[in-house]
Amino acid sequence: MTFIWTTIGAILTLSIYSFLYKDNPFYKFAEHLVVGVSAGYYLVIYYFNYIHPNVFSPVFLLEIGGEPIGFGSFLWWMALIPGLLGVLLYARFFPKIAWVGRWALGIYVGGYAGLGLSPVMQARVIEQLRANALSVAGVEDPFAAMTNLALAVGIFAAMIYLLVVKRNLGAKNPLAKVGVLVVSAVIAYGGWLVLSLISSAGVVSLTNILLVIGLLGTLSYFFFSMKHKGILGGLARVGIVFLMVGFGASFGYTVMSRISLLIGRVGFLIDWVGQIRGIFGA
Amino acid sequence: MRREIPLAITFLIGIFMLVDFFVPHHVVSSSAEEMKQWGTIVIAASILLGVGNLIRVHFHKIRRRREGWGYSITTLAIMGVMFFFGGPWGTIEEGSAFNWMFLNMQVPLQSTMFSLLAFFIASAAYRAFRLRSAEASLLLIAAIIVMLGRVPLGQLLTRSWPEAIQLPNMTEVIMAYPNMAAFRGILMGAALGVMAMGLRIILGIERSYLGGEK
Repeated sequence: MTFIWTTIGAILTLSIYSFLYKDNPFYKFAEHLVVGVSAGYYLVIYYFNYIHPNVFSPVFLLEIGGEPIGFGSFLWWMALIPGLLGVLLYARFFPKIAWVGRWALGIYVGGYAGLGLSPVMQARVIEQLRANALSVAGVEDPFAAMTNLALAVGIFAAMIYLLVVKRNLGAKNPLAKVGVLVVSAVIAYGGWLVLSLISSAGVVSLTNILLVIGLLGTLSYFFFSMKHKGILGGLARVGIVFLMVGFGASFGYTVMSRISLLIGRVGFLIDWVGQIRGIFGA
Repeated sequence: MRREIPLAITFLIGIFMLVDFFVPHHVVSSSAEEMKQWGTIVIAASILLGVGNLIRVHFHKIRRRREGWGYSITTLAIMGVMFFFGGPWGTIEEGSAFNWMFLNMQVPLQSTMFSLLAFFIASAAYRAFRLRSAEASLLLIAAIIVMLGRVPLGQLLTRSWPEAIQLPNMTEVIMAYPNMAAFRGILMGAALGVMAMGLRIILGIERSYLGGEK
């Protein structure tokens, strides 16, 4: 019996992979099967997890979690009202009264808009800022703290210069030449600091600097209220660099997850072929 | 009145949810909890509405014998089977027929569908990773390091290198710092957008969720 189910599974798997050649009836069959199975699954899960215990059971069976409730009681009404709001959504099947479905929409759109404001501010802005408000010093030693800070300022100044000043003034401008000298000195000093700070504390402060500059750059890139020129333009360029590395890393992760699924399915097919060989004694 | 009443409901519920955050009184918080419960029920009803719409579309397709109507029978039949085994006559507990169908049909079929994307991602990668600019090069380098750094091959290739530049360690650094900085920025930007949109909805400036008709 297991072999029959495995064979059906293998045929369906091969049907889906047949799409790599071109769209065909086997793929379409498997595709519709996936849609049907998923829709049936969500139909059952949402009904039994939400609608049945919170609406059907209190309103029609007069019980909540096995405890009896009175018909027309407060709890009964508190189950009936959201149930009716849910039913109102189905008014869109009848064009003349479709607009009453908006009442239910108003409840959850308004609810989630209000609910989202404060927690979103708290969790995704303030907490993220707090997590990024890192010590660029990273160490308790004042000398190390100062040198790390100098390194942070140096790297930042060098980035801004390289990205903005040289472009705006032209490489032949005297100021640009002085700038090249200053930036070279800062980079050389920074390099020396990097070498001298290759200790755990030094690495921590460097990575903190990376996080702070990366966040500033990314936020600048998405700041569209001003033209991306001057310092903002430079920061936005830095942001692009971080975004590209981030997108590349996410892409790599996504590819690996899909490949791991593919490996799982190919492993299943290999097992199936092994079963066939076992049955036919090949 | 067809638009004003829903706008008023949205405003009142939205403001009430905001008040709940700032007024930690049990009357307010228990009422807000009840509202959240209502929202959950409405969402569940809307998902069932989506399934209902799917049934309607496929039913019409079969009735009018449109192209591919045979496949629609497959969709409706298997949906019916799932509902039969999980619905009022069945159970969704572990070991039930419904659970068996979930584990042996939905999970493998969906994972096969998603694994199909590996091939399309490969062709998308070819287009995205052609070294046309410095930014594309960064994308390529970061992706290659992360991909190789997550498999044993990456470790094998670089195991004789200094520890700091071995691919698995470089992957960790990329994920923890540049990637974290970029996605933290995106997260904060998106959060500010969500808040702005939330305010627009509560104040009735954003009305697209009401649909186009009067």
